[in-house]
Amino acid sequence: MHSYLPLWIVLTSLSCGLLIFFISESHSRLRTTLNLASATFKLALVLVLLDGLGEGRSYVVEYELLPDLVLSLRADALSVLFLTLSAFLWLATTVYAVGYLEKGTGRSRFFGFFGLCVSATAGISMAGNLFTMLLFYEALTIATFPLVVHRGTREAVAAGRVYLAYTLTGGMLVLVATVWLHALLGSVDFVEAGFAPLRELPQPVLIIAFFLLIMGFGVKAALFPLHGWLPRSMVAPAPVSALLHAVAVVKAGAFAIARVIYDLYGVEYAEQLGVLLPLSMLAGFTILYGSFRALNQRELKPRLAWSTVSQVSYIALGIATFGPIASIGGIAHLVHQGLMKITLFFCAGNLAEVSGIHRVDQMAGCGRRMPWTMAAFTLAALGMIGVPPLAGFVSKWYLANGALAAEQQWVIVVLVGST
Amino acid sequence: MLHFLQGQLPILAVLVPVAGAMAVLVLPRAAARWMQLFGFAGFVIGLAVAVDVYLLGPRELVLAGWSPPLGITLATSGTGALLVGVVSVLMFVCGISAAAERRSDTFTASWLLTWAALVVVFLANDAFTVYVALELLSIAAVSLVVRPDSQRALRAALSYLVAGLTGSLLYLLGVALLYAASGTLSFAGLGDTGAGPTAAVAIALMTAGILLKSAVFPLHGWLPGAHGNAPAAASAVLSGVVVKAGVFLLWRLWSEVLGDAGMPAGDTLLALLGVCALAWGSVMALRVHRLKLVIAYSTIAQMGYLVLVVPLLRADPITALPGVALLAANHAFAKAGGFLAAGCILAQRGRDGLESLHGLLQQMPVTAFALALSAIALVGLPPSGGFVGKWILIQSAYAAELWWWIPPFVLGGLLSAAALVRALSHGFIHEPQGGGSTNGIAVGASLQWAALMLALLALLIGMTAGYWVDLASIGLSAGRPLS
Repeated sequence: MHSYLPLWIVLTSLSCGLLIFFISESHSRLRTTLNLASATFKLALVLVLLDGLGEGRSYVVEYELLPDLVLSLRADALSVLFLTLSAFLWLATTVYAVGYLEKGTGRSRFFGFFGLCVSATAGISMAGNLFTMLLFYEALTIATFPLVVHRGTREAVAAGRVYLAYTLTGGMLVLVATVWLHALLGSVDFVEAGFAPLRELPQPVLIIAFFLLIMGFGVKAALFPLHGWLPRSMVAPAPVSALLHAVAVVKAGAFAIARVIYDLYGVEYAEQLGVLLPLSMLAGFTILYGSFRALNQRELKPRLAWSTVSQVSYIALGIATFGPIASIGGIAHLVHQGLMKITLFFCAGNLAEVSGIHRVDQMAGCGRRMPWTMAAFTLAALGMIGVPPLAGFVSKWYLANGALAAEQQWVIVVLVGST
Repeated sequence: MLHFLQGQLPILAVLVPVAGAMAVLVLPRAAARWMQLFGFAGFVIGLAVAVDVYLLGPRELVLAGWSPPLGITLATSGTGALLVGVVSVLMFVCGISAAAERRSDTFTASWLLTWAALVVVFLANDAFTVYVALELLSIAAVSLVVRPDSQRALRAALSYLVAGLTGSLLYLLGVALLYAASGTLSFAGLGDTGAGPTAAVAIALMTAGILLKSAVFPLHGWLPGAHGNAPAAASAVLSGVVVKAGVFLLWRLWSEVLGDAGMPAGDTLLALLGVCALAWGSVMALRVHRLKLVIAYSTIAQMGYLVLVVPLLRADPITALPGVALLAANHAFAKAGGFLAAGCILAQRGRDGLESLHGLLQQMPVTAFALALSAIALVGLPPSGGFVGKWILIQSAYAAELWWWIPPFVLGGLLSAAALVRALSHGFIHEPQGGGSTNGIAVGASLQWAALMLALLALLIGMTAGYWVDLASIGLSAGRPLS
């Protein structure tokens, strides 16, 4: 019972989401209660998991589809990091969305798909092998589409189609790599410090597979040039944008990249292959490009979107810059960016709904009208910039130190430039 | 007694639907009742056939004691039994929904005869019995397309009839040549005699006939009209199982009868036609403006997969056959669910143009879900049967070093996704409040749920793939895949 914990964690949000579909639109109290109860329960389960892992227990749940196709959920330190973040932010976003959508329609559908989305994210965080990661990755694509198009305008659906075009293509790239590696190796598990049988393959195969995996997962992580879907998906309601940008989609992409590098190839081996340097350069370019485009945006939500494009690449940069300190910076940034960005989006949503503010130049004077919102916005923004002692500073500090340790001084230039 | 019944399962699976058709002709006013009764019996027996093979292995039944080469034998192989199971589920579920609307006795009788003919095709063990079944199938299936109120449907039915009869004629010519060359008609016997030039010509003729009947590019012209205009439940089984009958025979011919010498250029040509079907079907699906036509063109594309596998089947039938069987079953369920959902939309709104799908998610959520699940299975996203089927086939192609057939499996999924997303995304566009797109006839919940359940089955067979692969593998040994 206890060892099935990973499964229960995924099922909690899944069943909550499915049940909510059947709750009729008008029973908002029932829906909110169910939602909040499930979110709290899930957070509790995650804390139990955390506790168990601390005591040295292992949690593995496996289901065999075919002899060489096994669904595997495995909780380890990295998964718990992402899992806790997403469970906590599910709770927070639910509270926010209840208020935001108070006068909206289709709330049962919204919260239903929301729950499915969170389940898929939990699956990604606990995926124990490449096939499971692919399965939940595609599930996330499918679950987030209805959220992106929630408003139901032609514009929203057009943005949704662009989203699917990018993400399904990314999924296909991952599929090709997965099938290929399976055909060569039989099964491809995530093992701490790298999956050893992988190293016996010829180098060109490994490099191409790495490229395919990073490009495929990089679509969701909005790595240049695969980032095109993100600014367009700003037509979604603010809670969805918050979810997409802070909790689920982009983080899932970055997390998947982290898994591939740490637990599939192993970071030392990846360095030996020489694949980390191109990745860190791509990440560096994305950071600067995203920031630059953000400056040109007059509307608030697109500006935040481009900022995300830039920020998520910090994570990739941290991972790709070889060395433990940079890695800490990268992974810590996963959490920090999540918290900061979600705050910014919530504030943006407040501004839009309450004061009708969509553009930056309309923001004059709203510090007085909506003081709490603007205070939160200021704090989060300072954090993003990296002003000490806020969270963003901590991750950038680690990133910079790691860059020095790895003798990649150009990274510091990138960090300073984008700040 | 039970043992006797078990032994007779194959013929019972044929006789029950035939008896049902007889009952409808004798007492037409109770047609809906007969459909329920015989449909349920046929459903149970069909499933029993599959379970019987799974638990006890293949079974051969020699009818009336006349053994081959003159007599008729029914043999349940793993894949045949799997397909009989799929047929039973689809014919029963869609038949109930069809009977609820149609009430025409001719339609119901044709439905049951189609069912019987399908079972014979999947279970017969000699080329001539198969011919008889194919003829019956063509005629019965054409009757399903006809709708009294639609000129379009009538024209489509006629072109389907012409295509079907021409196909049967070509097939018969091929059978005659085979008999002249080898003196036997049973598939087992034909496989033994190997291939000479006569056999090669014969198989080419039979293949041409089958391609025509199963609407494989470039002989697919009749399908969009027929499946796009038939009543929804009829389209469901036409696309779901009727076209499968032809390709099942194709697999048998090319893996059993042709032998090792074979026609290497031939199976490459077939696979190329499959790739063209995949591309053409998806491109056309991107251009049409009616939901049922999109789904019909999707069938043409998906049939491409089933023909594409012929080189894989010849190279390594033991791994490839379960994969393609799973793909076929996945398509059958997903397509049936899709067409039933389209039928709900047509019934409620009176038209199925893509622009008129607006507001679908708000007003008919169950139907919208059914369409979405069906699309997921057709594209081949995990964990659907389509995904697992393609996975197995890609692995098989890789192991057999037939690498150039792998890209179509991967890219085909993206093309299908493009076509289906384009069509279905209209359902997510909201309609302004009070928009009048309801025709007034609210579609019953049970029909919508039937569509959803069928689409869900396509996903479930993926999740439980191990069982289906085991079933389809029963009776497989190198050289004798399907007998």
